[in-house]
Amino acid sequence: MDASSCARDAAALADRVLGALRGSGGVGLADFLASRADPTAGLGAVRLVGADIFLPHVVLNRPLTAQDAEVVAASFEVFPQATEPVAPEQRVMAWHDWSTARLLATLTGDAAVAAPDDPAAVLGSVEKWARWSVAVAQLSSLAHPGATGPVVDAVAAQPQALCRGVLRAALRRDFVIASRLTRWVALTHAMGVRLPVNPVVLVDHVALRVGSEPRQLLDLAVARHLVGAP
Amino acid sequence: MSVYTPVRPVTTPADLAQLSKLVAEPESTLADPPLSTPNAAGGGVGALLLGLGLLLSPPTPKEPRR
Amino acid sequence: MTSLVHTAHDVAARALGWLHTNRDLGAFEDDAATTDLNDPEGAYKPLCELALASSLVLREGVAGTNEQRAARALVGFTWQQLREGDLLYERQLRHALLTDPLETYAHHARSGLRHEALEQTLVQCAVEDSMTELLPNRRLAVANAHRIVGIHRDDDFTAMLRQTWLGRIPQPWALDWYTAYYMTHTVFHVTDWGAKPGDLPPDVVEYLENWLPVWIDVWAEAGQWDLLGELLIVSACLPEPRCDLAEWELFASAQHADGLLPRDDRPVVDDTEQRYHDHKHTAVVATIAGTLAMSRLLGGQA
Repeated sequence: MDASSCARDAAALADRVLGALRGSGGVGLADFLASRADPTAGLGAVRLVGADIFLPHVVLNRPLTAQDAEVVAASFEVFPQATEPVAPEQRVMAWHDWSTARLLATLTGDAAVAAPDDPAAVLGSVEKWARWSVAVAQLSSLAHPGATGPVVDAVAAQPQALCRGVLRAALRRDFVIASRLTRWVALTHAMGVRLPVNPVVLVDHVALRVGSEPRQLLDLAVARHLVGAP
Repeated sequence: MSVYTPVRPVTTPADLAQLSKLVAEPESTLADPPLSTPNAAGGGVGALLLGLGLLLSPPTPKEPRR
Repeated sequence: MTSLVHTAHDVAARALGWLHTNRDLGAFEDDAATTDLNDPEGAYKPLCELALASSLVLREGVAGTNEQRAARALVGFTWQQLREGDLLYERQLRHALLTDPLETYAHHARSGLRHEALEQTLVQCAVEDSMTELLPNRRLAVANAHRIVGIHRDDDFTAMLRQTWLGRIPQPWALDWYTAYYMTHTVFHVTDWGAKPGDLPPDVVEYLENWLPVWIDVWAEAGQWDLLGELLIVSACLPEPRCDLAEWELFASAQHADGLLPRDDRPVVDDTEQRYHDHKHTAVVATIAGTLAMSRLLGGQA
Protein backbone atom coordinates (compact mmCIF):
# COMPACT_ATOMS: atom_id res chain seq x y z
CA MET A 1 0.00 0.00 0.00
CA ASP A 2 1.20 3.46 -0.84
CA ALA A 3 1.05 5.54 2.37
CA SER A 4 0.59 8.84 0.59
CA SER A 5 -2.39 7.50 -1.42
CA CYS A 6 -3.91 6.25 1.81
CA ALA A 7 -3.44 9.66 3.44
CA ARG A 8 -4.91 11.38 0.37
CA ASP A 9 -7.88 9.03 0.40
CA ALA A 10 -8.38 9.67 4.11
CA ALA A 11 -8.50 13.41 3.40
CA ALA A 12 -11.12 12.82 0.68
CA LEU A 13 -13.14 10.65 3.03
CA ALA A 14 -12.91 13.20 5.84
CA ASP A 15 -14.19 15.78 3.37
CA ARG A 16 -17.21 13.56 2.66
CA VAL A 17 -17.84 13.28 6.40
CA LEU A 18 -17.64 17.05 6.72
CA GLY A 19 -20.13 17.41 3.89
CA ALA A 20 -22.49 14.93 5.54
CA LEU A 21 -22.25 16.83 8.83
CA ARG A 22 -23.21 19.99 6.95
CA GLY A 23 -26.27 18.23 5.59
CA SER A 24 -25.18 17.08 2.14
CA GLY A 25 -26.51 13.57 2.73
CA GLY A 26 -24.69 10.39 3.72
CA VAL A 27 -20.98 9.70 3.66
CA GLY A 28 -21.48 6.92 1.09
CA LEU A 29 -18.60 4.67 2.07
CA ALA A 30 -19.32 2.13 -0.69
CA ASP A 31 -19.40 4.86 -3.30
CA PHE A 32 -16.22 6.35 -1.85
CA LEU A 33 -14.40 3.05 -2.07
CA ALA A 34 -15.58 2.43 -5.62
CA SER A 35 -14.13 5.78 -6.64
CA ARG A 36 -10.61 4.96 -5.36
CA ALA A 37 -7.88 3.89 -7.73
CA ASP A 38 -6.30 1.59 -5.16
CA PRO A 39 -8.84 -0.34 -3.04
CA THR A 40 -6.17 -1.22 -0.46
CA ALA A 41 -5.41 2.44 0.13
CA GLY A 42 -9.15 3.16 0.15
CA LEU A 43 -9.84 0.56 2.83
CA GLY A 44 -6.79 1.83 4.72
CA ALA A 45 -8.31 5.31 4.56
CA VAL A 46 -11.55 3.98 6.09
CA ARG A 47 -9.54 2.60 8.99
CA LEU A 48 -7.47 5.78 9.25
CA VAL A 49 -10.49 8.07 9.49
CA GLY A 50 -11.81 5.45 11.90
CA ALA A 51 -14.75 6.26 14.12
CA ASP A 52 -15.07 9.67 12.49
CA ILE A 53 -16.84 8.06 9.53
CA PHE A 54 -19.80 7.56 11.88
CA LEU A 55 -19.99 11.21 12.99
CA PRO A 56 -23.07 11.95 10.85
CA HIS A 57 -24.78 9.00 12.50
CA VAL A 58 -23.66 10.06 15.99
CA VAL A 59 -24.41 13.77 15.58
CA LEU A 60 -27.35 13.76 13.15
CA ASN A 61 -28.74 10.35 14.05
CA ARG A 62 -28.54 9.13 10.48
CA PRO A 63 -29.00 5.40 9.99
CA LEU A 64 -26.01 3.39 8.75
CA THR A 65 -26.62 1.50 5.53
CA ALA A 66 -25.72 -2.18 5.30
CA GLN A 67 -23.40 -1.42 2.40
CA ASP A 68 -21.47 1.14 4.44
CA ALA A 69 -21.27 -1.21 7.40
CA GLU A 70 -19.88 -3.87 5.09
CA VAL A 71 -17.09 -1.54 3.91
CA VAL A 72 -16.01 -0.96 7.49
CA ALA A 73 -16.08 -4.69 8.18
CA ALA A 74 -14.01 -5.26 5.04
CA SER A 75 -11.39 -2.79 6.24
CA PHE A 76 -11.00 -4.86 9.40
CA GLU A 77 -10.66 -8.04 7.35
CA VAL A 78 -8.08 -6.61 4.99
CA PHE A 79 -6.09 -4.93 7.77
CA PRO A 80 -6.37 -7.39 10.64
CA GLN A 81 -6.12 -5.97 14.15
CA ALA A 82 -2.95 -6.67 16.10
CA THR A 83 -3.77 -9.36 18.65
CA GLU A 84 -1.14 -8.22 21.12
CA PRO A 85 -0.17 -4.60 20.53
CA VAL A 86 3.32 -3.84 21.83
CA ALA A 87 4.80 -0.89 19.94
CA PRO A 88 3.37 2.54 20.83
CA GLU A 89 1.77 2.97 17.40
CA GLN A 90 0.21 -0.49 17.70
CA ARG A 91 -1.34 0.51 21.02
CA VAL A 92 -2.70 3.71 19.45
CA MET A 93 -4.04 1.68 16.55
CA ALA A 94 -5.70 -0.78 18.93
CA TRP A 95 -7.66 1.98 20.73
CA HIS A 96 -8.41 3.79 17.48
CA ASP A 97 -9.81 0.53 16.06
CA TRP A 98 -11.72 -0.19 19.25
CA SER A 99 -13.55 3.11 18.93
CA THR A 100 -14.42 2.33 15.30
CA ALA A 101 -15.55 -1.22 16.06
CA ARG A 102 -17.54 -0.10 19.07
CA LEU A 103 -19.51 2.53 17.15
CA LEU A 104 -20.05 0.09 14.30
CA ALA A 105 -21.46 -2.44 16.78
CA THR A 106 -23.69 0.22 18.33
CA LEU A 107 -25.05 1.29 14.95
CA THR A 108 -25.56 -2.24 13.63
CA GLY A 109 -26.85 -3.64 16.92
CA ASP A 110 -24.02 -6.14 17.16
CA ALA A 111 -22.44 -7.32 20.38
CA ALA A 112 -20.14 -4.86 22.17
CA VAL A 113 -16.43 -5.22 21.61
CA ALA A 114 -13.91 -5.56 24.40
CA ALA A 115 -11.62 -2.61 25.12
CA PRO A 116 -7.86 -3.02 24.77
CA ASP A 117 -5.57 -2.88 27.78
CA ASP A 118 -5.21 -0.22 30.47
CA PRO A 119 -5.26 3.30 28.91
CA ALA A 120 -2.09 4.14 30.84
CA ALA A 121 -0.26 1.74 28.52
CA VAL A 122 -1.11 3.86 25.48
CA LEU A 123 -1.03 7.31 27.08
CA GLY A 124 2.01 6.91 29.31
CA SER A 125 2.52 8.76 32.56
CA VAL A 126 0.68 12.06 32.88
CA GLU A 127 3.76 13.40 34.69
CA LYS A 128 5.33 13.49 31.23
CA TRP A 129 2.46 15.65 30.04
CA ALA A 130 4.06 16.63 26.71
CA ARG A 131 4.43 13.03 25.52
CA TRP A 132 1.09 12.10 27.14
CA SER A 133 -0.69 14.86 25.23
CA VAL A 134 0.73 13.73 21.88
CA ALA A 135 -0.67 10.23 22.54
CA VAL A 136 -4.01 11.82 23.45
CA ALA A 137 -3.93 13.74 20.17
CA GLN A 138 -3.28 10.54 18.23
CA LEU A 139 -6.48 9.15 19.75
CA SER A 140 -8.65 12.11 18.72
CA SER A 141 -11.19 9.90 16.95
CA LEU A 142 -12.18 8.65 20.41
CA ALA A 143 -13.32 12.18 21.33
CA HIS A 144 -16.74 12.31 19.70
CA PRO A 145 -20.04 13.59 21.08
CA GLY A 146 -21.32 11.23 23.74
CA ALA A 147 -18.00 9.37 23.91
CA THR A 148 -17.35 7.21 26.95
CA GLY A 149 -14.78 4.62 27.91
CA PRO A 150 -11.49 4.20 29.71
CA VAL A 151 -9.46 6.62 27.54
CA VAL A 152 -12.14 9.30 27.76
CA ASP A 153 -12.21 8.92 31.55
CA ALA A 154 -8.41 9.03 31.72
CA VAL A 155 -8.19 12.20 29.62
CA ALA A 156 -11.08 13.97 31.35
CA ALA A 157 -9.38 13.32 34.69
CA GLN A 158 -6.36 15.38 33.57
CA PRO A 159 -7.64 18.76 32.32
CA GLN A 160 -4.39 20.52 33.24
CA ALA A 161 -2.15 18.11 31.30
CA LEU A 162 -4.58 18.22 28.37
CA CYS A 163 -4.59 22.02 28.26
CA ARG A 164 -0.81 22.13 28.67
CA GLY A 165 -0.59 19.86 25.66
CA VAL A 166 -2.78 22.05 23.50
CA LEU A 167 -0.91 25.19 24.59
CA ARG A 168 2.39 23.51 23.73
CA ALA A 169 1.10 22.51 20.30
CA ALA A 170 -0.24 26.00 19.62
CA LEU A 171 3.06 27.66 20.58
CA ARG A 172 4.98 25.11 18.50
CA ARG A 173 2.59 25.96 15.67
CA ASP A 174 1.79 22.28 15.22
CA PHE A 175 -1.85 22.79 14.33
CA VAL A 176 -2.45 19.15 13.47
CA ILE A 177 -1.78 18.19 17.08
CA ALA A 178 -3.47 21.37 18.29
CA SER A 179 -6.72 20.69 16.42
CA ARG A 180 -6.84 17.11 17.69
CA LEU A 181 -6.27 18.20 21.28
CA THR A 182 -8.80 21.00 20.88
CA ARG A 183 -11.35 18.29 20.17
CA TRP A 184 -10.47 16.61 23.47
CA VAL A 185 -10.62 19.94 25.29
CA ALA A 186 -14.10 20.48 23.84
CA LEU A 187 -15.25 17.00 24.87
CA THR A 188 -13.89 17.48 28.38
CA HIS A 189 -15.72 20.81 28.57
CA ALA A 190 -18.93 19.15 27.34
CA MET A 191 -18.53 16.61 30.15
CA GLY A 192 -18.66 19.46 32.66
CA VAL A 193 -14.99 19.42 33.66
CA ARG A 194 -13.57 22.81 34.71
CA LEU A 195 -10.75 23.84 32.37
CA PRO A 196 -7.91 26.37 32.73
CA VAL A 197 -8.50 27.65 29.17
CA ASN A 198 -11.59 29.02 27.45
CA PRO A 199 -12.59 26.20 25.07
CA VAL A 200 -14.61 28.39 22.71
CA VAL A 201 -11.76 30.88 22.34
CA LEU A 202 -9.38 27.96 21.80
CA VAL A 203 -11.49 26.51 18.99
CA ASP A 204 -11.56 29.88 17.23
CA HIS A 205 -7.81 30.43 17.73
CA VAL A 206 -6.94 27.07 16.18
CA ALA A 207 -9.57 27.41 13.42
CA LEU A 208 -7.88 30.56 12.12
CA ARG A 209 -4.57 28.76 11.75
CA VAL A 210 -5.34 25.18 10.86
CA GLY A 211 -5.48 25.54 7.08
CA SER A 212 -7.73 23.51 4.83
CA GLU A 213 -6.82 19.88 5.52
CA PRO A 214 -10.18 18.07 5.82
CA ARG A 215 -9.17 15.84 8.74
CA GLN A 216 -8.25 18.88 10.84
CA LEU A 217 -11.38 20.72 9.73
CA LEU A 218 -13.30 17.66 10.88
CA ASP A 219 -11.56 17.82 14.29
CA LEU A 220 -12.63 21.42 14.61
CA ALA A 221 -16.18 20.74 13.41
CA VAL A 222 -16.49 18.14 16.18
CA ALA A 223 -14.97 20.58 18.68
CA ARG A 224 -17.40 23.31 17.65
CA HIS A 225 -20.33 20.93 18.02
CA LEU A 226 -19.09 19.89 21.47
CA VAL A 227 -18.71 23.44 22.80
CA GLY A 228 -22.03 24.43 21.28
CA ALA A 229 -20.45 27.08 19.03
CA PRO A 230 -21.94 27.89 15.61
CA MET B 1 -23.25 -1.54 -7.64
CA SER B 2 -20.38 -3.37 -6.11
CA VAL B 3 -19.71 -2.25 -2.58
CA TYR B 4 -15.99 -2.63 -3.04
CA THR B 5 -13.79 -4.77 -5.20
CA PRO B 6 -15.23 -8.28 -5.06
CA VAL B 7 -11.80 -9.78 -4.58
CA ARG B 8 -10.50 -8.55 -1.24
CA PRO B 9 -7.06 -7.02 -1.62
CA VAL B 10 -4.27 -8.85 0.11
CA THR B 11 -2.17 -6.85 2.53
CA THR B 12 1.18 -7.58 4.10
CA PRO B 13 2.39 -6.90 7.65
CA ALA B 14 4.29 -3.97 6.16
CA ASP B 15 1.00 -2.46 4.95
CA LEU B 16 -0.44 -2.81 8.41
CA ALA B 17 2.65 -1.23 9.96
CA GLN B 18 2.33 1.64 7.49
CA LEU B 19 -1.30 2.15 8.43
CA SER B 20 -0.41 2.14 12.14
CA LYS B 21 2.14 4.86 11.45
CA LEU B 22 -0.48 6.95 9.69
CA VAL B 23 -2.92 6.50 12.57
CA ALA B 24 -0.29 7.31 15.20
CA GLU B 25 1.05 10.32 13.30
CA PRO B 26 3.84 11.89 15.39
CA GLU B 27 4.03 15.60 16.19
CA SER B 28 5.92 17.83 13.81
CA THR B 29 9.47 18.92 14.50
CA LEU B 30 9.73 22.42 15.87
CA ALA B 31 10.05 24.60 12.78
CA ASP B 32 8.68 27.99 13.72
CA PRO B 33 9.02 28.64 17.46
CA PRO B 34 8.13 32.02 18.94
CA LEU B 35 11.38 34.00 18.70
CA SER B 36 12.50 37.60 18.89
CA THR B 37 11.89 38.38 15.23
CA PRO B 38 9.84 40.13 14.20
CA ASN B 39 9.80 42.10 17.39
CA ALA B 40 7.62 44.94 18.41
CA ALA B 41 9.81 46.36 21.09
CA GLY B 42 13.30 46.86 19.64
CA GLY B 43 16.54 46.06 21.38
CA GLY B 44 18.31 42.74 21.56
CA VAL B 45 18.38 39.84 23.97
CA GLY B 46 18.13 41.10 27.48
CA ALA B 47 17.12 44.59 26.50
CA LEU B 48 14.47 44.34 29.14
CA LEU B 49 16.37 43.34 32.22
CA LEU B 50 16.88 46.90 33.18
CA GLY B 51 14.20 47.94 30.81
CA LEU B 52 13.25 50.03 27.92
CA GLY B 53 13.75 53.21 29.86
CA LEU B 54 17.25 53.42 28.54
CA LEU B 55 16.11 52.93 24.99
CA LEU B 56 13.43 55.56 25.27
CA SER B 57 15.44 58.17 27.11
CA PRO B 58 16.47 61.44 25.41
CA PRO B 59 19.36 61.38 22.97
CA THR B 60 22.96 61.70 24.00
CA PRO B 61 23.06 63.46 27.35
CA LYS B 62 26.77 63.68 28.05
CA GLU B 63 27.31 64.13 31.74
CA PRO B 64 29.73 66.91 32.70
CA ARG B 65 32.92 66.17 34.51
CA ARG B 66 32.83 67.02 38.17
CA MET C 1 16.33 17.93 46.02
CA THR C 2 19.98 17.77 47.04
CA SER C 3 20.92 17.13 43.43
CA LEU C 4 18.83 20.12 42.38
CA VAL C 5 20.50 22.37 44.97
CA HIS C 6 23.88 21.26 43.65
CA THR C 7 22.91 21.87 40.04
CA ALA C 8 21.49 25.33 40.80
CA HIS C 9 24.54 26.17 42.90
CA ASP C 10 26.98 25.07 40.22
CA VAL C 11 25.24 26.98 37.44
CA ALA C 12 25.14 30.17 39.52
CA ALA C 13 28.69 29.84 40.85
CA ARG C 14 30.15 29.24 37.40
CA ALA C 15 28.16 32.04 35.77
CA LEU C 16 29.12 34.48 38.53
CA GLY C 17 32.76 33.37 38.26
CA TRP C 18 32.68 34.02 34.52
CA LEU C 19 31.19 37.49 35.08
CA HIS C 20 33.85 38.23 37.68
CA THR C 21 36.72 36.99 35.52
CA ASN C 22 35.59 39.03 32.54
CA ARG C 23 34.33 42.11 34.41
CA ASP C 24 36.86 44.48 32.85
CA LEU C 25 35.29 43.77 29.45
CA GLY C 26 32.15 45.42 30.81
CA ALA C 27 33.82 48.65 31.91
CA PHE C 28 33.14 52.02 30.29
CA GLU C 29 35.52 52.48 27.39
CA ASP C 30 37.34 55.65 28.38
CA ASP C 31 35.60 56.87 31.44
CA ALA C 32 32.03 57.28 32.49
CA ALA C 33 32.12 61.03 31.99
CA THR C 34 32.17 60.85 28.22
CA THR C 35 30.14 57.74 27.60
CA ASP C 36 26.82 57.73 25.82
CA LEU C 37 24.54 56.29 28.46
CA ASN C 38 21.67 55.99 26.00
CA ASP C 39 23.52 53.63 23.71
CA PRO C 40 21.71 50.31 24.11
CA GLU C 41 24.91 48.57 23.00
CA GLY C 42 26.96 50.47 25.59
CA ALA C 43 28.29 49.50 29.00
CA TYR C 44 25.76 51.28 31.20
CA LYS C 45 22.88 48.81 31.16
CA PRO C 46 25.09 45.70 31.53
CA LEU C 47 26.74 47.32 34.55
CA CYS C 48 23.30 47.75 36.11
CA GLU C 49 22.53 44.10 35.44
CA LEU C 50 25.83 43.05 36.96
CA ALA C 51 24.96 45.03 40.08
CA LEU C 52 21.53 43.43 40.19
CA ALA C 53 22.89 39.87 40.12
CA SER C 54 25.55 40.70 42.71
CA SER C 55 23.05 42.40 45.01
CA LEU C 56 20.83 39.31 44.98
CA VAL C 57 23.74 36.95 45.70
CA LEU C 58 24.56 39.14 48.69
CA ARG C 59 20.93 39.45 49.79
CA GLU C 60 20.28 35.72 49.75
CA GLY C 61 23.56 34.79 51.44
CA VAL C 62 23.37 31.16 50.33
CA ALA C 63 26.41 31.18 48.03
CA GLY C 64 29.83 29.92 49.09
CA THR C 65 32.53 32.22 50.46
CA ASN C 66 34.22 32.63 47.06
CA GLU C 67 30.94 33.57 45.38
CA GLN C 68 30.04 36.06 48.11
CA ARG C 69 33.46 37.62 47.69
CA ALA C 70 33.05 37.76 43.91
CA ALA C 71 29.60 39.35 44.27
CA ARG C 72 30.94 41.95 46.68
CA ALA C 73 33.82 42.69 44.30
CA LEU C 74 31.47 42.99 41.31
CA VAL C 75 29.08 45.43 42.94
CA GLY C 76 32.14 47.37 44.10
CA PHE C 77 33.35 47.39 40.51
CA THR C 78 30.04 48.69 39.11
CA TRP C 79 29.84 51.33 41.86
CA GLN C 80 33.34 52.47 40.98
CA GLN C 81 32.40 52.59 37.29
CA LEU C 82 29.44 54.79 38.22
CA ARG C 83 31.81 57.07 40.10
CA GLU C 84 30.39 55.97 43.47
CA GLY C 85 26.93 57.06 42.33
CA ASP C 86 27.89 60.52 41.08
CA LEU C 87 27.12 59.55 37.51
CA LEU C 88 23.63 58.46 38.53
CA TYR C 89 23.14 61.59 40.62
CA GLU C 90 24.13 63.93 37.79
CA ARG C 91 21.97 62.08 35.31
CA GLN C 92 18.94 62.10 37.60
CA LEU C 93 19.41 65.77 38.39
CA ARG C 94 19.68 66.75 34.73
CA HIS C 95 16.98 64.37 33.45
CA ALA C 96 14.51 64.16 36.30
CA LEU C 97 11.99 62.02 34.43
CA LEU C 98 14.39 59.18 33.67
CA THR C 99 14.03 56.08 35.77
CA ASP C 100 17.32 54.30 35.05
CA PRO C 101 19.38 56.17 37.68
CA LEU C 102 16.90 55.08 40.37
CA GLU C 103 16.71 51.53 39.08
CA THR C 104 20.50 51.22 38.91
CA TYR C 105 20.95 52.82 42.28
CA ALA C 106 18.52 50.40 43.93
CA HIS C 107 20.87 47.43 43.44
CA HIS C 108 23.75 49.34 44.99
CA ALA C 109 21.65 50.69 47.84
CA ARG C 110 20.52 47.13 48.54
CA SER C 111 24.21 46.26 48.78
CA GLY C 112 24.86 49.07 51.27
CA LEU C 113 26.35 51.51 48.74
CA ARG C 114 24.44 54.75 49.31
CA HIS C 115 24.61 58.28 47.83
CA GLU C 116 22.92 60.93 49.93
CA ALA C 117 22.53 63.65 47.30
CA LEU C 118 21.08 61.17 44.83
CA GLU C 119 18.57 59.99 47.42
CA GLN C 120 17.48 63.58 48.08
CA THR C 121 16.98 64.04 44.36
CA LEU C 122 15.04 60.80 44.10
CA VAL C 123 12.76 61.84 46.96
CA GLN C 124 12.09 65.16 45.26
CA CYS C 125 11.34 63.41 41.96
CA ALA C 126 8.92 61.12 43.80
CA VAL C 127 7.14 64.06 45.42
CA GLU C 128 6.82 65.81 42.06
CA ASP C 129 5.85 62.61 40.26
CA SER C 130 8.73 63.29 37.88
CA MET C 131 8.55 60.10 35.94
CA THR C 132 8.29 59.42 32.25
CA GLU C 133 5.30 57.39 31.03
CA LEU C 134 6.08 53.68 31.08
CA LEU C 135 4.79 50.30 29.99
CA PRO C 136 2.96 48.62 32.89
CA ASN C 137 5.71 46.06 33.62
CA ARG C 138 8.28 48.86 33.56
CA ARG C 139 6.15 50.90 35.96
CA LEU C 140 6.41 47.98 38.41
CA ALA C 141 10.20 48.02 38.02
CA VAL C 142 10.25 51.65 39.15
CA ALA C 143 7.87 50.99 42.02
CA ASN C 144 10.09 48.16 43.21
CA ALA C 145 13.17 50.36 42.95
CA HIS C 146 11.48 52.98 45.14
CA ARG C 147 10.59 50.21 47.60
CA ILE C 148 14.17 48.90 47.72
CA VAL C 149 15.70 52.35 48.22
CA GLY C 150 13.07 53.13 50.84
CA ILE C 151 11.39 56.08 49.15
CA HIS C 152 7.79 56.14 50.27
CA ARG C 153 5.14 56.39 47.59
CA ASP C 154 1.51 55.36 47.48
CA ASP C 155 2.21 52.74 44.80
CA ASP C 156 -0.50 50.09 44.55
CA PHE C 157 1.38 47.03 43.29
CA THR C 158 -1.74 44.95 42.80
CA ALA C 159 -3.41 47.63 40.69
CA MET C 160 -0.20 48.05 38.67
CA LEU C 161 0.06 44.30 38.18
CA ARG C 162 -3.46 44.26 36.72
CA GLN C 163 -2.32 46.66 34.02
CA THR C 164 0.32 44.21 32.77
CA TRP C 165 0.01 41.35 30.29
CA LEU C 166 0.29 38.84 33.15
CA GLY C 167 -2.16 40.62 35.41
CA ARG C 168 -4.89 40.30 32.81
CA ILE C 169 -4.53 36.48 32.80
CA PRO C 170 -4.76 36.15 29.01
CA GLN C 171 -5.26 32.85 27.24
CA PRO C 172 -1.81 31.29 27.69
CA TRP C 173 -1.02 30.95 23.97
CA ALA C 174 -1.41 34.73 23.55
CA LEU C 175 2.28 35.09 24.28
CA ASP C 176 5.31 35.87 22.14
CA TRP C 177 9.02 36.01 22.88
CA TYR C 178 9.05 39.67 23.85
CA THR C 179 5.92 39.49 25.94
CA ALA C 180 7.39 36.48 27.73
CA TYR C 181 10.17 38.79 28.95
CA TYR C 182 7.54 41.33 30.05
CA MET C 183 5.75 38.57 31.94
CA THR C 184 8.90 37.43 33.74
CA HIS C 185 9.75 40.98 34.75
CA THR C 186 6.29 41.59 36.12
CA VAL C 187 6.87 38.67 38.49
CA PHE C 188 10.40 39.83 39.37
CA HIS C 189 9.23 43.28 40.40
CA VAL C 190 6.02 42.35 42.20
CA THR C 191 7.90 39.81 44.30
CA ASP C 192 11.10 41.89 44.54
CA TRP C 193 13.03 39.06 42.91
CA GLY C 194 11.50 36.30 44.98
CA ALA C 195 11.61 38.08 48.35
CA LYS C 196 7.82 38.54 48.46
CA PRO C 197 6.29 35.52 46.71
CA GLY C 198 3.09 36.04 48.71
CA ASP C 199 2.50 39.34 46.90
CA LEU C 200 1.41 37.49 43.76
CA PRO C 201 -2.40 37.20 43.76
CA PRO C 202 -3.71 33.61 43.91
CA ASP C 203 -5.16 33.68 40.38
CA VAL C 204 -1.81 34.79 38.97
CA VAL C 205 -0.04 32.06 40.95
CA GLU C 206 -2.45 29.43 39.62
CA TYR C 207 -1.96 30.75 36.09
CA LEU C 208 1.82 30.58 36.35
CA GLU C 209 1.70 27.11 37.91
CA ASN C 210 -0.46 25.90 35.04
CA TRP C 211 1.57 27.34 32.18
CA LEU C 212 5.21 27.79 33.23
CA PRO C 213 6.01 24.13 32.43
CA VAL C 214 4.73 24.64 28.89
CA TRP C 215 6.53 27.92 28.25
CA ILE C 216 9.72 26.37 29.63
CA ASP C 217 9.29 23.28 27.45
CA VAL C 218 8.74 25.26 24.26
CA TRP C 219 11.52 27.81 24.71
CA ALA C 220 13.94 25.14 25.91
CA GLU C 221 13.19 23.14 22.76
CA ALA C 222 13.89 26.31 20.77
CA GLY C 223 17.26 26.63 22.56
CA GLN C 224 16.39 30.02 24.07
CA TRP C 225 18.61 29.64 27.12
CA ASP C 226 18.33 33.27 28.18
CA LEU C 227 14.55 33.16 28.28
CA LEU C 228 14.63 29.70 29.87
CA GLY C 229 16.77 31.18 32.66
CA GLU C 230 14.26 33.99 33.17
CA LEU C 231 11.42 31.47 33.37
CA LEU C 232 13.40 29.50 35.96
CA ILE C 233 13.66 32.70 38.02
CA VAL C 234 9.88 33.08 37.80
CA SER C 235 9.55 29.47 38.95
CA ALA C 236 11.63 30.29 42.01
CA CYS C 237 9.50 33.39 42.78
CA LEU C 238 6.26 31.43 43.31
CA PRO C 239 4.86 30.94 46.82
CA GLU C 240 5.44 27.21 46.33
CA PRO C 241 8.65 27.38 44.30
CA ARG C 242 8.78 25.19 41.22
CA CYS C 243 12.24 23.70 40.98
CA ASP C 244 12.27 20.92 38.41
CA LEU C 245 15.45 18.85 38.20
CA ALA C 246 15.02 18.00 34.50
CA GLU C 247 14.60 21.67 33.59
CA TRP C 248 17.65 22.61 35.62
CA GLU C 249 19.77 19.83 34.15
CA LEU C 250 18.84 21.01 30.68
CA PHE C 251 19.81 24.59 31.56
CA ALA C 252 23.07 23.38 33.13
CA SER C 253 23.88 21.26 30.08
CA ALA C 254 23.99 24.42 27.96
CA GLN C 255 26.69 25.98 30.17
CA HIS C 256 30.29 25.90 28.92
CA ALA C 257 33.19 24.70 31.05
CA ASP C 258 34.36 28.28 31.70
CA GLY C 259 30.94 29.31 33.04
CA LEU C 260 29.63 31.03 29.89
CA LEU C 261 25.97 30.27 29.34
CA PRO C 262 25.00 30.94 25.71
CA ARG C 263 21.93 33.11 25.18
CA ASP C 264 20.59 30.70 22.55
CA ASP C 265 21.57 27.68 20.49
CA ARG C 266 23.49 29.57 17.82
CA PRO C 267 27.28 29.04 17.68
CA VAL C 268 29.38 30.92 20.23
CA VAL C 269 32.22 32.91 18.67
CA ASP C 270 35.84 32.62 19.89
CA ASP C 271 36.58 36.33 20.29
CA THR C 272 36.71 37.05 24.03
CA GLU C 273 35.12 40.49 23.86
CA GLN C 274 32.35 39.37 21.55
CA ARG C 275 31.62 36.37 23.78
CA TYR C 276 31.25 38.65 26.77
CA HIS C 277 29.10 41.11 24.86
CA ASP C 278 26.81 38.41 23.46
CA HIS C 279 26.33 36.29 26.58
CA LYS C 280 26.78 38.49 29.66
CA HIS C 281 23.06 38.93 30.11
CA THR C 282 22.49 35.19 30.22
CA ALA C 283 25.23 34.85 32.86
CA VAL C 284 23.41 37.45 34.94
CA VAL C 285 20.15 35.53 34.50
CA ALA C 286 21.84 32.22 35.39
CA THR C 287 23.40 33.72 38.51
CA ILE C 288 20.05 35.02 39.70
CA ALA C 289 18.15 31.85 38.76
CA GLY C 290 20.62 29.55 40.52
CA THR C 291 20.83 31.79 43.58
CA LEU C 292 17.07 32.09 44.04
CA ALA C 293 16.40 28.40 43.34
CA MET C 294 19.04 27.38 45.86
CA SER C 295 17.74 29.86 48.43
CA ARG C 296 14.12 28.73 48.09
CA LEU C 297 15.08 25.05 48.22
CA LEU C 298 17.11 25.66 51.35
CA GLY C 299 14.27 27.67 52.86
CA GLY C 300 16.19 30.93 52.78
CA GLN C 301 14.87 34.45 52.94
CA ALA C 302 12.77 34.32 49.78
